Amino acid sequence: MWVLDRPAMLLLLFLLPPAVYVRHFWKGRGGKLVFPFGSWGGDGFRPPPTIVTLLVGLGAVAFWVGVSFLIVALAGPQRVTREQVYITRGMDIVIALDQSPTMAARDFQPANRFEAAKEVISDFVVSRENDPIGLVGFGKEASLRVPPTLDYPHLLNVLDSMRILELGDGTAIGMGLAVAALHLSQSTAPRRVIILITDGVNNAGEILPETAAQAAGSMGIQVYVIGIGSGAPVEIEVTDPDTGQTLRGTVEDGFDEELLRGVAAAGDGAYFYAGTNGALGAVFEAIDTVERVEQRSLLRVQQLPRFQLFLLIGLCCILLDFVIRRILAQEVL
Amino acid sequence: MTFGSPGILWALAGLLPVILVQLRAYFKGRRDLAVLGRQWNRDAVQTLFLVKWFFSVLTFDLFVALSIFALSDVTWGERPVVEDRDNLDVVVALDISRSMLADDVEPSRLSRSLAVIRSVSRELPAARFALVAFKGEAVMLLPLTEDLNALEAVLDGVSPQLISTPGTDLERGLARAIDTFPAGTNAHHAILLISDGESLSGSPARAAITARSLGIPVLTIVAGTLDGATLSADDGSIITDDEGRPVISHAMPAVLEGIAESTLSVSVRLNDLEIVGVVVDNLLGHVERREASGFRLVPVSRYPLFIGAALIALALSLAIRIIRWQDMF
Repeated sequence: MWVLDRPAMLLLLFLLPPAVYVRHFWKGRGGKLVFPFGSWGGDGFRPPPTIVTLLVGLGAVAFWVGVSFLIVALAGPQRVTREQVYITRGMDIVIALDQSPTMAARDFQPANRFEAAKEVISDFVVSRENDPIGLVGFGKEASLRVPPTLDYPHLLNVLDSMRILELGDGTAIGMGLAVAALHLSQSTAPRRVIILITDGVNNAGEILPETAAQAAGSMGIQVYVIGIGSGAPVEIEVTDPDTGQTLRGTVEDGFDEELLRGVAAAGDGAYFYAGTNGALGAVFEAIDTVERVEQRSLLRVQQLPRFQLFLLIGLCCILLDFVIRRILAQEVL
Repeated sequence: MTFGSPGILWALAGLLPVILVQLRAYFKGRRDLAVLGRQWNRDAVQTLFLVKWFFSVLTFDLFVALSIFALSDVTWGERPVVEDRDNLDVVVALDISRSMLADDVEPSRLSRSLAVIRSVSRELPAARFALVAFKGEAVMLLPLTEDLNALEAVLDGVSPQLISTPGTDLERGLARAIDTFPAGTNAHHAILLISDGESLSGSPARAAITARSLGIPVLTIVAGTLDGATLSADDGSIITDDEGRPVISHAMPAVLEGIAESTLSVSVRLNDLEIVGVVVDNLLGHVERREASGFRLVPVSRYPLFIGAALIALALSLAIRIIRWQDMF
């Protein structure tokens, strides 16, 4: 929205019509020599229109347009933006996402478990406000992809770029949890939460899931665990990001539900099973509803001066008139 | 007195061709009036023409000069504005061009810069940090976060090889740093710009103007010395120019000092032994100055004075030309 800081200055625009009259139409004006070329009482001599006279007319229009722009610049045009800012600290959330090959199982829409999880996480991120969210990926290794941040567009870009098998063939649930807990350890947030999403059993890494969950729990970090997958044999198709080779097969093993329940219990959180897209979405909605902290915000108004644009246009118009009159029309005064 | 857009003052040089055109018009006018004035009082017309020409030119040129000063956003004095902010968000914009590998600051400009960033982040545990690296392009390596472990991990991997686009574009680096502050936060914003000041493309002043308009101070660290140092290629050999002479990279503090000054901050030298304390004090100084009674002091822009004076000068220029003097001209 645009506003004027000194709107009263626009009253100066009322001075323009008399100024235009005095400069262009007043017969008694000075700065020129007048010679009588007409007959007594008849019409005066008028030169035929030429490109120069047309340009002089154009210059006169540009001059007064320029003066109008200067007056508007004097009135202080400003662009006003309103921004909602939070004055309270939100909660920190780190999502630990399984990137093992079994996440390519095609029992979830649109493509597989992994893509379904990314879609649900994306919806979850978009629904949050003022809660720093981080992202950890784990396969055979675990890696922090995004630290807890309010830069949601960056988070969503990184989430979109994540691929199955990037972190090796394996499922290091404990490492994923440990990395997530490490990056929440220095947080000053009133609540800290890890959401772990996996479809497999812990078969890699040097840290046991229970140990990592206990460590997180001892730091006051709550761990939610979501086991995904239908449990029935299901086809998988996955492309190795290193070789580009497409691998196909069937997954028959489900996840270790008892282990995941234990992890959730150790992390003072809860375990959820999501066998379908709808169930996975519902689990995230449940977590979204439960994990809320009080948020207070205010509306900050910011005024950005825009006088330079008007002033520049005005100055250019007046200099255009100057060039036309002095160089093309050869006016001497 | 400071200028929000000091580069615009170069436009004052444009007054020279304007004056030349006016002088040409004066001599042409004298010749024309000498021909026409034979029928009248020639000397009186010439004198009157000189007086009218002089004052109309003087007032018109004054109008142009005042308009240019107004465009450059002249400021002096400060006024308080209500601003209730909390905590501190710092975006570090780090130059990772090859010249940052020069060793005129031990062990190298880049290594020392990374050490300073680590120390500053440890001194400000409540602040959130982000990291933007730039050469010919600018890339956000770390979004704004409180997670110092993540910052440490990212700093460990910083090297000139992170960005393939050659060159140094301070404007891109600063612009990316400004964009890195997420919307909706209530923290004080500050940018820590670390570079040797060599800007091979872009206009750092333009990005500084944006930072200033958003109230973001840009504290600059000049990496390197005026004497400079040679640069080594990947194979360890000294980089030379076309004539075989060693290329020496010098620090250019003027650019960085200009950015800091126009955003109401300070510029410090990387080889200053007290640099960490100076940077921390200045970052906290911005916060403390702003948090005093929930007010922030902002510079007062004086452009209305200059536009008003410019309009008066233009009106005078017009009046001198169109009011007939001595019933003659």
